[in-house]
Amino acid sequence: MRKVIAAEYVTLDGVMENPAWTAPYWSDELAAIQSQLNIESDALLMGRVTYQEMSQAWPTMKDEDGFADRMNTLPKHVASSTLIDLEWNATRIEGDVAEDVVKLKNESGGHLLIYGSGTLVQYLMQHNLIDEYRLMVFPIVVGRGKRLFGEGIEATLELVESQALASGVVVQTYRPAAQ
Amino acid sequence: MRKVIAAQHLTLDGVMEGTEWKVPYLTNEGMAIAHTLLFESDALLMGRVTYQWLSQAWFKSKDETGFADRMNSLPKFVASSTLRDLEWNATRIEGDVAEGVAKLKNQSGGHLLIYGSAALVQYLMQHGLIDEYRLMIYPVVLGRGKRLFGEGITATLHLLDSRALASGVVVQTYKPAAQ
Repeated sequence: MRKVIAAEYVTLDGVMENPAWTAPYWSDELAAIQSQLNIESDALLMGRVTYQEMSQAWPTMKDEDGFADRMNTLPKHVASSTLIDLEWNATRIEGDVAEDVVKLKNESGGHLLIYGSGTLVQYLMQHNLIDEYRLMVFPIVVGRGKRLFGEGIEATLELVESQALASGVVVQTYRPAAQ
Repeated sequence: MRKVIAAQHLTLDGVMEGTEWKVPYLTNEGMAIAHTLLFESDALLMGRVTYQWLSQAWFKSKDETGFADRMNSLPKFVASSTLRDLEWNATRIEGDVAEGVAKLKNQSGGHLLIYGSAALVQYLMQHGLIDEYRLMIYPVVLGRGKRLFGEGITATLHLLDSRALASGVVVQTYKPAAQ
């Protein structure tokens, strides 16, 4: 069964929005971690806002490691009730999103990887469909913006791994605690 | 110059309020860390709510490690415009709190340790008076309650240490980034 993994850049105060604040802390170390996770995945799940931002930003990018090529060629499954005519190798998830994600999980293959997509992550949490959280916590407090874990979102987790990078970013991997 | 250290127990979504969520994760490992920090400190700084809470909770306590004795005997400096007649070896910080804390920092001695006291921590952050954050991050998302880093609070930090405990709690130590 495929794993749904939410890979998120967050500030120390839990904000995920507009991650321009990641720039000063970017490092080869972090790039390698993101790259590895991406290579282990064979599809992206995303919400509307993340789809709109990424489908604009990525097609013009190129890098020697092939990360941009992967981002552009991976199939994307987008949860949106309003978008039609998706580009960027993306298709809209029709019908009930939870049911569809379960179907995708039951297929064989690599991980179903989520970047950003706060609303989708919260929805999938409520349906117990997130298998792993890869939180990259940046040493910065921004004081405003959408938080990954907003009001009313609850979870009991288990720490799988914690890794401090030289840049001061801490990569924390969690999974839902056994019920 | 003495260091002002904010030692905080936080959920993964940054909530500091409440006690039940900590209970399953309180281990000897975590308590040893708290013990070391308390014994490196020779005074506590706190706000009104934390003073009222801790002065009730601790004065009856006793334990073999001496933690409770130290909690009860250390001098406490309380930032409050309303409290009078403090007990528990506590005195009110008279006049401007930032000036009062700066004076305490200029004395020689151990750390000035802050537990809880979100409003005081935020105030001291805005005055550049917090030297270190010792954050114990629990693998729980609570979804409600007072957060240490509330709306509008900003800071650029530098990671000094990150340590994962067997319980799944991650202890992260930060200081303000050099300006």
